[in-house]
Amino acid sequence: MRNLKHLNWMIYLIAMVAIVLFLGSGKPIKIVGLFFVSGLAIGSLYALGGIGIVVLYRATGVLNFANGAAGAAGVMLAWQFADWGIWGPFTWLVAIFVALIISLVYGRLIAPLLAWREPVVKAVATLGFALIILGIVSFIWEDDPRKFALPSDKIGVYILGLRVTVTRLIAFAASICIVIGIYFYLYHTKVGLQMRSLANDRDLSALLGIPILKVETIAWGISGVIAGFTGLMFGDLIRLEPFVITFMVIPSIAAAVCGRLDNLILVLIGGLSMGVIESLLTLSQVFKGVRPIAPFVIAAVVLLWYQRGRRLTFSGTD
Amino acid sequence: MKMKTLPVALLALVVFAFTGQSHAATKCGANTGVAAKGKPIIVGGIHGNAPPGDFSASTDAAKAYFDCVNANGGIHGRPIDYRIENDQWNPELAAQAASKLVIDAGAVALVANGSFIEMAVNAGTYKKANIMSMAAACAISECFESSNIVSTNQGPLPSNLGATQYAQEELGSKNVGCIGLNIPNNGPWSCKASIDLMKARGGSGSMALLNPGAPDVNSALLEIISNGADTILMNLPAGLAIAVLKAAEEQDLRDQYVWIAPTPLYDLSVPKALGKYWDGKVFVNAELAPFQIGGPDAKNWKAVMDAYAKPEDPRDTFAQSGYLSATFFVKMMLAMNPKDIDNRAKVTQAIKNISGYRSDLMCGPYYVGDSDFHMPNHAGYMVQIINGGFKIVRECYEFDSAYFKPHIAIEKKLGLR
Amino acid sequence: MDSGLFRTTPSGRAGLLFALFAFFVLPAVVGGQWLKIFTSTGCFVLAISGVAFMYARLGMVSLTQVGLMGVGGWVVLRLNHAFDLPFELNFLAAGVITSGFGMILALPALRLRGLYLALVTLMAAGGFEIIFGTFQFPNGGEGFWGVKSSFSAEFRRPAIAQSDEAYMRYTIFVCALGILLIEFHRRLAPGRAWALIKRSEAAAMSAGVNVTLYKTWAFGIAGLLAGISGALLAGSLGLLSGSTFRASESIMVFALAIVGGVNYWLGAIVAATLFRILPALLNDWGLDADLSFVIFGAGLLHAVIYAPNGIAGQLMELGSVVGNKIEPVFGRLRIQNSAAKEKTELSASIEISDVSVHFGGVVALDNISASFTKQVSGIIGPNGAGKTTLMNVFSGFVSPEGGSVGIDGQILTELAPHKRGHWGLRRSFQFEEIADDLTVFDNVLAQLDGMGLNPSQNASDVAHALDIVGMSEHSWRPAVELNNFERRLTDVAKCLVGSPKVIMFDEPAAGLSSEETDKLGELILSIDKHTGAKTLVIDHDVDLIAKICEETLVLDFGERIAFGKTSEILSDPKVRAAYLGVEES
Repeated sequence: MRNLKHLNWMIYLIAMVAIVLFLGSGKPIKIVGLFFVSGLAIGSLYALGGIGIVVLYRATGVLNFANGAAGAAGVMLAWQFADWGIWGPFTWLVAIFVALIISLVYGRLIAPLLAWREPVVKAVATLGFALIILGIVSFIWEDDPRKFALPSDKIGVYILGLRVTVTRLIAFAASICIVIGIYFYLYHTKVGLQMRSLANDRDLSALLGIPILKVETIAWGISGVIAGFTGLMFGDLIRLEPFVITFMVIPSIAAAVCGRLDNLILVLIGGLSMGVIESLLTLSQVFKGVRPIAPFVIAAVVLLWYQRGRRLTFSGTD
Repeated sequence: MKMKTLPVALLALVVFAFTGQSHAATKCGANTGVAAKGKPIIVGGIHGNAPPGDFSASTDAAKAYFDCVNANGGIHGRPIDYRIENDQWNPELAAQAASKLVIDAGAVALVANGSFIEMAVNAGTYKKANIMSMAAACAISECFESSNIVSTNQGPLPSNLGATQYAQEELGSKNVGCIGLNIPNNGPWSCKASIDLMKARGGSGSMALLNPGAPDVNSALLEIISNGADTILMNLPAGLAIAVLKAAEEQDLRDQYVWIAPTPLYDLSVPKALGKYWDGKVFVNAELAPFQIGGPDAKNWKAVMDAYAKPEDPRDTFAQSGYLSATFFVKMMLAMNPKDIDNRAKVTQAIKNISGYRSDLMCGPYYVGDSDFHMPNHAGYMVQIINGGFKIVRECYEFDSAYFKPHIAIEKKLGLR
Repeated sequence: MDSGLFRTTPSGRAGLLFALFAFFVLPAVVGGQWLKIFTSTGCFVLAISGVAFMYARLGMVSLTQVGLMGVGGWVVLRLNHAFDLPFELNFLAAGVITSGFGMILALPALRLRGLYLALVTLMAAGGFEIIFGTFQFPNGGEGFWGVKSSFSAEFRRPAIAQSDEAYMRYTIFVCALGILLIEFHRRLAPGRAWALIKRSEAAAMSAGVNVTLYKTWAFGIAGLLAGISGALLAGSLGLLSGSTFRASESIMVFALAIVGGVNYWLGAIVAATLFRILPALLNDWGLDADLSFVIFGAGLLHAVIYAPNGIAGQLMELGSVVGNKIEPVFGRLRIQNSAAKEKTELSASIEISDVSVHFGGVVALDNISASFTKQVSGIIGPNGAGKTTLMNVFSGFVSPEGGSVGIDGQILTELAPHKRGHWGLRRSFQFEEIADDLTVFDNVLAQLDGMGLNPSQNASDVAHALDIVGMSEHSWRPAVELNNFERRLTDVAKCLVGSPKVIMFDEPAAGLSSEETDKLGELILSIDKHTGAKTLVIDHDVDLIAKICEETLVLDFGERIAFGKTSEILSDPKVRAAYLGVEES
């Protein structure tokens, strides 16, 4: 059984390497390296978004479409404060705080009302919330070209010919740290254990005397903080536009799907490889136009591969 | 920054009132100073206001001008009833808006339209209904290549051309890389003319197309660079252009390439958004006279906006072109027989007969003519982003392309050259 | 059977009236702008019906319906510009091709359920968005993609619907046809099959339903409706733009379908109204476009939390227009002759030969062999012994690593699972798998669909079975209203129709009182008298087994530890040790 799992990982990695080699064949190594690192940069953002989604899903069973919107609200407010001349680091805290509050509002007030519905309905409800946040944010800040910058943008290192700013390194490092941190939290703390129990069976956990509300609040809180940080990264590294940041949740879900909404390491690997493939597709004359489709194709294939040979029989959640 | 909150607006009005700023005298229409009464003349306007861009400045400015005209005797004593619709970059809404204005309301003309999609959807409708659209903020080919639409702005094809031409002549460009949106009647259409220009002058060019929603602009930048470009032409809406420049800043590419762009980057909030890094390094083509030119029309535009527009309405190039379309429309209507101004067919004919209207906001004369294409504005300025603002580096110059041969022929026929 | 097909219900009558009103009155009274808005809304009513019925009837979520609309629009535009065919042909082609795309989406649906299925469709939606964004929609250019950088070529509308007014009527007509198509499906065998699939694929398979076929068919219909609605939209506008078919729009459309109410035709109309008419109204009233996002979001939250049946559900309750949302199709049909069918005398024995089942490293069944010759036989053993697994081998849900099951010359393990039902295998599940969405009668009738028998004969067969189990007067009640015992009886009735050869009962007495258990026991004993089928019973109630089973197989940890006459088995010390445990000395 364990061998099978490792076999899957091996197959995935081999497939990725094969695709990378295929796309890069015939092109100068320098160029390929450039696109490869560029792909890792965007991929780490997909992974970061996906990790935020999976962390919450594992603890509450809710696939949160509003993750991106919460982040967008946070980073827009941070930009506004910076525009009014407030000290930088304080604005970042504001961003994270705002996303945290938004997340908690949903998690404490609205999510419990839906606890008994099926996962799809819970996810769709978060979409409603995302639209409300997006609508309010778009209403307050009119369409205007804006830029969000962090001091770490100014410092950079060269990797394979591409200059990578410290901000990008932070995003990448953060995704790894969050994965490790969450792992330790879930498996080595009491609250983490309670969270895993909750995710497994909410009703049963309640019967066991696990403080549902407290544990869920913590889960939503952690998710909110991650969403706020991710929003800052998206605002800095992609575009400071609420609509774009909000709907980054869709490729983030693609990365989350790669990890089967469960395994954070796979989400990380999935997200990174999505970014790399998408970037390397620029080298292919045939596919360069459709390269943003890479995350979706990869996610779909991964999901179907996991379920191959399976047949649905008895009712129950999947 | 425009934060749409009531307190800010109120504060602005209060400040206005207390600084005792007197509005410069406006000059609108017949300029009688008497409010127009009588049966309103119905005029329509369609703009697009939804991500990724807000084109409402043109209709806002036209509305301000029409309000001024209505306060000054209207058109032969009758007020203009200007009805504005928003297409939200959605073809369904664009078609509905046209139906509402053209069929239901019976407008005699459309003025100051600004949209990414409306012209493509409605060009056929306008032709069938025999109505003219004097647009102001156009970005797609249908706007310039259909019989019933004419715009005061240039659109991406000439604007990119102007930037490329300046770069080839003054900045030593030999290989232009055009980054554009992958919308065929926008990106490829406009990039091609610039690339053809370079080829005609012994250089070369290439294009890299972006999906508007794509989060990763880096790969387009890398693609253009690997094509061997020495000049990067950012044929994109402001938000995306800024993202590309940010990616370039990350790579510290500023001094290795020449950076040029068409009009969308001529926006007062852009220099601040770009920051000190890009100071003096980005050259932008302006479709209309930059604000510092300050001719009589430009001053009047400012006065009209101050007196009649809302404080949060943008004061940018589209606002100027919207104002311009409105002034040309009113000028044409005032020259008509008062009995004819309710007759759409007569109004359409009169619009088609417009020739030789001049303004200090536009480099060349405005004209319409009876043809399947209209692009009266094809000469402009070049500005440089420097010291947190814009500096004019070249005043009115003609853009050089085979594309304009038919236009020049018509201008000769109308005696405008 | 046919008299039931065309029966109208109060809700149906209201729907037809509404359609007539929309067809005749609306286009005549509204102006140019609202004609276009209503036409657009009509297109989305059609598309939303497609996504709503899949969720309501099968529990399957598709988050890519708008993407499929784009496919339909693309096809009709390309054909229009490439050839000179009339609109109707392009329109049909669009429907068929999009239906094909929908069926491709069904492939993951065979392996995924619930949220995962929804996410795969979301990936497809993302894919469509990129493709439409990159390749745009045809506008008269050359090549496969048919795009040129200027003025769109002329689009030819249907000959009978050239004006906007006529086109709106055309759209409403097609829309009504689409909804009727879904309704007809629901009233016939597909509806019963879907209801069973929704309950559990296992139940459906043992009822003889070809799950693959019906799931694919459902996706195909959803695709068809999406395709033709996209084609209608293309006809209304003359061209299409990628911004209409973003992934976010597909999610919105599903969300609004829930808000409207997936079980009602009115729900699709409410959803489409919110999607297209509300923003137009806000626009008319001069409110900011961004605010419509806020209203959508709030509406969605409200509906999801407080109105599980959607706004249509709330309206229906207010207006009491419709009674049950599950309408008995056949009404109070008088079954003339609930005659008994011919008994199948099954003299051959049930041969289990060396059946082994492994789940990874776990051995569930280890070389099990037994020959059941008596009429009613039992299978007992502690939990985890492999009893249900053995039945699953019979049903075909599990393939044995080795060995086979044969009855009456037929090697059962060679047949496809749903074909075993047709052959004569029946199963009553541990958690009775009665479809809540159907009436008692339809639940039993579903067993006979796909067997190719005479429909009127089926009705009397069903009536007879219900008679035997004593559920006749409940025939028309929706299954969701039944209590535990009644559900079990319905389940038994299902096992009695269509000349069964082998009937398997998996813990039939679970959850029943001792009185009810006794009654059930009597019923099982009488099965031989009515149908001649052999019966296998798994249960923990040793008294029941002792009473009704002549011979019994005892399993423990996947091994056969005893087989033979029930009274002897029950006094076997090995069996007692397995069940009750042995004292440690």
